[in-house]
Amino acid sequence: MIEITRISLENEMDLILAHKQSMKIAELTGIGIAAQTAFATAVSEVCRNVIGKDTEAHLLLSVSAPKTQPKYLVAELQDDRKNYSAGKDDGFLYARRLINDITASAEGGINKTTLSVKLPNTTRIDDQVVEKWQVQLNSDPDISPYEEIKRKNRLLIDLAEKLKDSEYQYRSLTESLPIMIFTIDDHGDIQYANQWMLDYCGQSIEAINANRWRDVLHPEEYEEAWRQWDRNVHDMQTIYPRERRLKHAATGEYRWHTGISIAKTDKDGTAHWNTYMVDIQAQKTVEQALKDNKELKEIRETLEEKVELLNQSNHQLAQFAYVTSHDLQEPLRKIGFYSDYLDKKYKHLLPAEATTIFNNLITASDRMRALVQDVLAYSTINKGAFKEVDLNIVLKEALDDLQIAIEEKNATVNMQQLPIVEGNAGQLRQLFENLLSNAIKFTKEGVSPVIDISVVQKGATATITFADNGIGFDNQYIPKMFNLFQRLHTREKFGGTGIGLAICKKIAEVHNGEISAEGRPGIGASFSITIPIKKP
Amino acid sequence: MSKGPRHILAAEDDLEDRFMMQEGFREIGHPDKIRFCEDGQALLDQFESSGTADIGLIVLDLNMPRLNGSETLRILKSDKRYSHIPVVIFSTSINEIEKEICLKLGACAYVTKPSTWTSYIATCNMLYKLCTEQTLPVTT
Repeated sequence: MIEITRISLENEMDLILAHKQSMKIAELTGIGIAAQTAFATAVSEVCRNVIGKDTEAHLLLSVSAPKTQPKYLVAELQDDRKNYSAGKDDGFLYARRLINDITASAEGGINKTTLSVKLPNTTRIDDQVVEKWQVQLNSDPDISPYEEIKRKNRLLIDLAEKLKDSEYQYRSLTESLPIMIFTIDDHGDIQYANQWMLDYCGQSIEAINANRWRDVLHPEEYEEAWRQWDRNVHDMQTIYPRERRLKHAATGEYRWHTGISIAKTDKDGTAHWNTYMVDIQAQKTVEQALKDNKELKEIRETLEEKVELLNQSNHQLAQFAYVTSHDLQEPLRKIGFYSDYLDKKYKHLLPAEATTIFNNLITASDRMRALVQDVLAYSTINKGAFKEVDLNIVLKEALDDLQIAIEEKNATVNMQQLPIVEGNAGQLRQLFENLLSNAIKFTKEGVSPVIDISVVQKGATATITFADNGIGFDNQYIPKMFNLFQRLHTREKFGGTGIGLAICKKIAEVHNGEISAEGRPGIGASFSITIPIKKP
Repeated sequence: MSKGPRHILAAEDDLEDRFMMQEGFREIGHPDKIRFCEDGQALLDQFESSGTADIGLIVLDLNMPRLNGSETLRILKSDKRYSHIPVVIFSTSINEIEKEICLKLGACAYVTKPSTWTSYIATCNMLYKLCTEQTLPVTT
């Protein structure tokens, strides 16, 4: 069926219109004059009883679809009268006498009364003809101002329906976008805001307006944002806001946004700005990371330069230490020789009071020689070509070197099987000798030293510990102990240059290892070297 | 080869070291056993002019002007006329690398200059023995 027109039925005027339009369409579709009148009157009769019944009713006038046979003109009354029964309706009963083909049905609370008139075979029905009929029905001089109003009203309702659809689509689009869309008037008050923005800000438009965005804009940008607004608002210019941090109500986090405000003037001259803002936090984070990365790189380069300078300086100092200690040895050796020479050959010629002074001279020159030798030893420790070194052999050589001292002090050395490492045998022997001689040196009066050398292997490293039963030390001195020239005791009590442990530390380090110490005053000390091993 | 008592020839540019060594040999009762020349070049010159018939041992200081100890050693050991004479390197400091080079070049000993009178006497004794008895190479 093709609908030609539709008439809502509310009052008497509508009834007249229904009759008139029925007559007209019957005429247009080629029905004879008598049948026209019968059809229009029958339509009026069935429609008559819905007028003034406070019911929603309308009449549809239609024709059969093109290319169907036989062809009909159909009038259909739709209404929602309750307890309606066609058989008891006088209008229906009367119409049935005028028209053969009339039916009544009810479905879903809607009553349908259908009146059909067969059209002549000669009547053509197609889109063009239907459109022509529709135009003619609507363009005929209106019978009354009412009819005109009625028609215009119908057009308006159609238009409103379409607008409603369009507005709904627009709204659902703006609501679903992850972008803030809002309109601001020239006071800076929000007139409209999409759901995304309201959800993000966690407050109503009224609340945002009431405290002038104070809970939304970042405090650091608040004043500036309004200043920018004031600068731009009078010019009716499109505003490109700077990047702004807006508070996400759900997390309390300020996230970076950017956007645009497009100025619009309404017909009545009022201005507003259509604004959108989009979250650029991710972009900002990447930017910041890149910037940080650049700064880190610059810092690293500066550091590398400093390290290079330090290395140079360190190298120069090492050279200086080496050269001075090396060159100092020569005159020192001669002082040693002459004082010994004097001592052995001419001491008996010295007056008694000069003897002490002479002895002090010898002691001082011995000490200086030891110092120079230790500084030289320290400055010559560096990473050279390493070879496979059996620490058992190194330890044996170190013990041989210290044989006299060990016997003198009646020391006991307990040891375990040591591993094989990559290293410099001479340096490692020096390391062992220094630790052993410390253990033999710092003993308690009347107690023979006992030195326990133990090994603990952990993965690819071994920790070799030299533990003694000597005087020990307070652990607060550990950080200082491995420094050059650091001494814990007076020279009168225990001799030494204060370089021994610094040498140990340096040797451990050039072997990619480390040294640590632990002491218990009056009980003993232990020194542990941890170094990578070649073979267990 | 001469049958007379053989001598030690020491190339030593330092006058004090010469005094010390001289005193050491005096102390052990062989003051005439040691003779000196001022550096490696002087030693080679002397060999060229006077020969090596009465030389039983060469002692070389390392740091010397003109021709230093290791250069002199190299020349001596590559010259058939001199290569049979034992050479002792007499140096201030123990330098493992230097020591290794010298022993490789054919020095029979690398001796650190003593730092006391007492140890000087011992060293002179050792050198004396090396010269007269041609004892096995010793390093100290």
